[in-house]
Amino acid sequence: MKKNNLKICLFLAFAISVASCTKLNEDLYSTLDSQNFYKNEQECILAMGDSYSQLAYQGGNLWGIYGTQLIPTDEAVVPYRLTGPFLGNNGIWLDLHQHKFKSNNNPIQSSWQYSFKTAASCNQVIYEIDKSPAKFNKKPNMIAELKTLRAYAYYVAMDLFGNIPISLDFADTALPKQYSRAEAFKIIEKDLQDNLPLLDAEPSPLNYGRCTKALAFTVLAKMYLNAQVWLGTPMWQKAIDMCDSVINLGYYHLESNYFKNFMIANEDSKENIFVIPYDRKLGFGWEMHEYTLHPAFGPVYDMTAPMWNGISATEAFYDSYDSADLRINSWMEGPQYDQSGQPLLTTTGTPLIFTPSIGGLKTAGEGDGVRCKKWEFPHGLQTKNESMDNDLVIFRYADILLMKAEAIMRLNGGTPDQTAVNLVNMVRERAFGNSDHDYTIATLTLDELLNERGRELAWEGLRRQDLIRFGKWENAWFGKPAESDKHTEIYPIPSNVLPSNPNLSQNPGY
Amino acid sequence: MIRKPNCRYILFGACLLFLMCTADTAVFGHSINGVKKKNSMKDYYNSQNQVTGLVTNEKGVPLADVTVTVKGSAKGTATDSKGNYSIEVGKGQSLVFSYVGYEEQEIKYTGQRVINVQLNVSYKSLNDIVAIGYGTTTKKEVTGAVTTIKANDFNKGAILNPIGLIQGKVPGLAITRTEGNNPNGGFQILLRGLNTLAGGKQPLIIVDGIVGANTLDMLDPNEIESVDVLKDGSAASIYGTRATNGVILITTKRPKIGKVSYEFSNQLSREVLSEHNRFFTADEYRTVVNKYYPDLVQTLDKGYSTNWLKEITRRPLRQDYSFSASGGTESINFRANLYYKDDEGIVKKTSAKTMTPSLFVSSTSLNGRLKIDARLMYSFIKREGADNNNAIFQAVVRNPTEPVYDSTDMIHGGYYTEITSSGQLNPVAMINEHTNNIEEQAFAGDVMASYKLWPTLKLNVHYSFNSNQNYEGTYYTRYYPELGTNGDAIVSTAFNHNVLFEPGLEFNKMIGDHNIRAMAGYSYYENQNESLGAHNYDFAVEDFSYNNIGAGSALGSGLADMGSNKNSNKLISFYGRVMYNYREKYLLSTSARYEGSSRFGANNKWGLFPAVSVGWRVTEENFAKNLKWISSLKLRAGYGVTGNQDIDNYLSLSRIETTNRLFYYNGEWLNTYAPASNPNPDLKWEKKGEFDAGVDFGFFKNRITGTFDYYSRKISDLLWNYDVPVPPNVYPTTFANVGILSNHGIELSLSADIIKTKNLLWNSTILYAQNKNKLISFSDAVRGYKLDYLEVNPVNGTWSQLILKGQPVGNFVTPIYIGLDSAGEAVYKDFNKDGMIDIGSQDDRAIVGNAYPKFTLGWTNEFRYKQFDLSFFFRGVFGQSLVNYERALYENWKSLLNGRNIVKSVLDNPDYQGINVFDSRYVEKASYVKLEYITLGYNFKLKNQNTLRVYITGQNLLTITNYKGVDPEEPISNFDLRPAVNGAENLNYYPYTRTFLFGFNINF
Repeated sequence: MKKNNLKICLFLAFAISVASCTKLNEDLYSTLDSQNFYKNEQECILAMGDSYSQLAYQGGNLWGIYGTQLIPTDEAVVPYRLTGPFLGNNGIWLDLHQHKFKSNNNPIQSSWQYSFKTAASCNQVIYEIDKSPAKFNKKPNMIAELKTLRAYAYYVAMDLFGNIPISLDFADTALPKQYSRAEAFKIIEKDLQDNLPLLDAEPSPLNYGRCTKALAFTVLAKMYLNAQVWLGTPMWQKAIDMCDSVINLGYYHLESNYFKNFMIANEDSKENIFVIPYDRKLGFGWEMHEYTLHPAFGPVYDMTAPMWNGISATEAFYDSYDSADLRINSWMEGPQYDQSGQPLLTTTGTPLIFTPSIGGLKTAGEGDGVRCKKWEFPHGLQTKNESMDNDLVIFRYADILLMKAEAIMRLNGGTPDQTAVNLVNMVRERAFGNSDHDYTIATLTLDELLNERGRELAWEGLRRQDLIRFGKWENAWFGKPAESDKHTEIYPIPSNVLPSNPNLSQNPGY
Repeated sequence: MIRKPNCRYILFGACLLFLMCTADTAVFGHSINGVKKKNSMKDYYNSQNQVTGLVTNEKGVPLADVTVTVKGSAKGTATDSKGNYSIEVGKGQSLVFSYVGYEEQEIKYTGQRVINVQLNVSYKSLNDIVAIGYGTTTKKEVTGAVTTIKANDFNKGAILNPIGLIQGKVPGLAITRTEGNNPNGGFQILLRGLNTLAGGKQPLIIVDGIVGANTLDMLDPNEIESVDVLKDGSAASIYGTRATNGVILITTKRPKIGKVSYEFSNQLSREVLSEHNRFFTADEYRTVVNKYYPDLVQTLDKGYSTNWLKEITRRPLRQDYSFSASGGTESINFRANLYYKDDEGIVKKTSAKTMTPSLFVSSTSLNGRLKIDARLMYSFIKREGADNNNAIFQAVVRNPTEPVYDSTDMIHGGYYTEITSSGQLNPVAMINEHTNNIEEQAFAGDVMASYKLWPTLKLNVHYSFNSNQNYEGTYYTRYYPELGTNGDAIVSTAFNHNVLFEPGLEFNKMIGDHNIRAMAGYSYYENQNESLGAHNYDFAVEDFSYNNIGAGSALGSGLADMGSNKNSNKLISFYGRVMYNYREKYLLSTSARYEGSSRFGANNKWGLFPAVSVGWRVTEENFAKNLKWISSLKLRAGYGVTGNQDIDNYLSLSRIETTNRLFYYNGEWLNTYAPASNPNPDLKWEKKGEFDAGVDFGFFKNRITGTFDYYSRKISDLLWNYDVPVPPNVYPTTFANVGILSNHGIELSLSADIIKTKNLLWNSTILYAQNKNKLISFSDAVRGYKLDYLEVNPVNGTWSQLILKGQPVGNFVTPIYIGLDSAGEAVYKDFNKDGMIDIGSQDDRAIVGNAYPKFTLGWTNEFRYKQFDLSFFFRGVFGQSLVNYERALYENWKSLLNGRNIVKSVLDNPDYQGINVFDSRYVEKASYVKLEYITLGYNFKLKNQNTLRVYITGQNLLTITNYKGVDPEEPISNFDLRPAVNGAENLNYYPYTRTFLFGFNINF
């Protein structure tokens, strides 16, 4: 019996000890529990980084916002080429250029994705910083900065898509409703105005690449300048006021060298208002070398990065430059040579010549179309995820001057006054190095202003907005027929977004 | 919820049964029932009587060592060498005669003085042991769908991985080699169709109680005794959330009791490429250029003739050695094994060398009450890896008129390089200037102790561990094509270990004719991974390779990378099973597992997985005993629920991770910390409910045997990444359980001993399986997860497959090519008749095929003539389609102009001037039949029951297919439903080969 008792005890002890171990806790080692984050100022700064770093993916990405602002314009085209490499991508660039916007188009989807990711990230970080127990001086400034960044992201989305969903509160998990462009405009305007006081006024290395007062003023200026076209309500005076706010800050002026703003070392440019900082070691980002150069340039710049021989300027756009205009050096035209003076060759062995004329949208020659060297090319970029160092300019002071001039002209029914002419001439004189090519009240028309904007802000992602505002978006140009209606002035809402939010309805015409 | 099984199959089964019962057949064999005699007074007083007799087999040959027992008592004896026995038995008692390999017989004593018995050979495999998880049973008692493959039925030849031993042998289990004959390649295993979209597809593999697929790399295939595959829900459900993809139980050989015996095996094999030329040879290339682009002859024809694939391949030798010793007594016995394998791949600088010693010891003590089995395995593997197989792709598409070397081009290391075209890399340089070495050590073991608390109750404690570590170094020299820097090194190390602790109880009782076996237990499983990696480049000196990684100058410039990671997960469960049978005629088995996994969300940590199955051994019924031509017939049916928890760790949590994005703040670059994903506290396992009905039959004394299964499985709570609006979410997708997928099909195996004489045996086996898959839904609008279709798997920049609700997964949907226009561009059918062809839209596309097969077929034949044995196995997969990526990318003139080689089939349609598009031309039917192996062996007769078998084998000698690409055995996972990053990755293949092998086994 004793033996049996022993056995029973063994059995029971065993059963009890076994059944008690049911803990399924998860131990995190290489990631953090978000409940334990945002504890101090340093962690809040690190969190803020998530919101800002989304910009890097979209600002310079051809498959993103940059592509949707650049390719459908008259200043650039990505043709199919008969020989050598080219960017085919199943026709997405042709579709974009011809304004055949499809809701499953990759750059359009990316543009939506990254704008809203920035906004969502801002919402989340604002919420966490707000409720974090950490106490530090900069807290309200950080929140103001993030709200401005969020407003900028919504501004980009409104520019591209018109009728967008807006959410301003991370705690509100309801599906956001879709606002018309007019409603979105008011929300964004209010956000920018409300948070201006807490932003930095003086640009410095301490806030380089982040939201400052000048950025907020510039975005408001852009919104007011476009209010006529977007809302039907002109707000020219307000646009002038915002431009004046930037000018009156006193920290910005035109660089004497146009190309300074686009150099590898452009951090100290006094003209740049808002940039996306890039660095080779970021591994992604600004890849103009890949977009526009021909592979023969590999040894010239000691680059093993692939070159896709993709984007060219259209002939008409290039022809709009006067030969004395220093800005014409943005372009690579004519026979191309390496460092020792030997001509570079195409893949068929003929000399590589970049000609302004382009054979056809689907039948371009290997060297057709001038290429862009506005952004200084670095040396030694490797395939191992190295991209260009040049910080990418989003807004700069030259644009402010031209915007103020335009607003004045618009208020005046299309004719400039002397103030407007002087503003434009500041840009013009910097561009020519002398005042021989200045405008006068007689010669400065709205069309001329549009052309000057084109030459000054070439390939900076601003042309689309300008063409729409000046009423030229539906015109015909190289490779693109004229359009009978205006529905392409906003992009279709991407097909992968509509199903997930039933509050959204597709934009008209799509 | 039980799905209604297809009525057709039930009707079929019922008719079959009816026919069998009404057929009148002659009586064969021996009547077992004795004749009842009236009890006489004399017998009544002689209660214990001596009975003697002779036991023989059906040929009249006396059988020695037959166990003779008096039923219900401890009395027993055995027949002597002449087959005679003598025993005392009382009135009303029965004598039981049993002998391994023979049918047991029971004879009632009613006063006979002599009882002679003729034993019949046991119906093949009925008493075979079948592993069913947490125990074993016999084949005749199994009620779930379990397929058992014994060692002699394994695939023959040079087997890279033990899974290859059963490829094609288990109906419903589709095994594909993912990388041809790469010694470092693996297998993709799909059981009964596609059962998940985003979860893991691997079945649970347990080798002798040790969990983890890495054990397969350690295992000596010669040591495997049997492989049991738990296929349906009722059989696999005992393993809960790991069971949906099936459970493969591998049992190795047990020690032989007696004096120490030895086994030694050796195999040597050679391989040759088995692919056909899809691209032009140098001469063909020249002819084509001269004919179609005569003005480009100067630029395209470089003047040489190079067979690039030949330049990077070799004639490899593979060797395999296995040595085991086993012996011992009842109270302690052992089996020790040493295995060495040296596997050279056909591509240069790819290989794997494995050394695995292992030891198994079993001891019994305390009067047989305590039994302890312990196993230890250690393995050391050294591998040389191919560089993502990219060199092979580069070789195949390279211009054959280019030379391999150019001694004047020292910038590129003396390799011929075309600088005007990027992406075209010299494959010889890629092989020579790249090194990848991996060293793996694994150490695994398990202990099973069982203690008999009472005669009916056993306490079992099972503990196992599996720990492995690897160290990997990769180096590219400065001459590696388009490297762009002076050397690049990566070093990484990973450590993984898991631990399993399973105490349990086993109950076994016979009450009259009722047999009850029950089992219950607790299981604790923990797995932990740790890894470390470093990357540096720009080495001034090449000679270090990756062994001095700090020497690269990128480190000083802040451009080197390093990272480390650790993660873990736990699985805890309570499980139990009851198996009941009445006279081994009516069978019932029911089990349940209550399991929790750390991977699931806080709201769904635990789940219950029940199963029930029943069986009816019709041949045990009295009415059936007259139908002598049916030697065994069992009907069975079962339903079980299993789960799939094969997802990454921590997905349900709200986590902050460091991203690779940098943020410029106050003059310095900082790491960004961002939410890793949208948290999902409702995250749970994918659930499969499966109904299976089957028939196991044998006719004519099991000359013909087979099984038939019908199954219907429904998988719900399918995981997928759903687009969710941003904001309010931070991430654009949430990993959530939403969809429903179904598979149903039939499996059939039929085996016949067509000829069975003393000298000649011919057995033929046919296996058939078919499966139909359907995605029932993957949307739940109420919860905000809406998805109507998915366009996936890009080829040439556009999607190739459409996943649509209500359709099977894997449909290729393409624009339909109808001809060329005057400019040589492709013209497509305008389905929606709107005058426009939008090739990216579903409206102008149609279904042209499906990536999953309609049915699979296997046919094995075994011949034995005296000492010779010959067997061969054909394996066929039918009804599937594949994208021929080579044609999609290289069947056009543009690629020729870009400097590449192009496929010969471009001459079938030379007017085509288009560029890379994707349409119906490139989706090909890929049904195939392969002669997996043919082997011829000779068995020498040695004295003392020693055996020696010598054999030669040819593997993969023949492939019959209409598919024009490399090899139609493309793993389904290449069509992974997660959108492929780059369609061209699928062009990186490792060549398939024909193997010729010589080997021998000797037992002494």
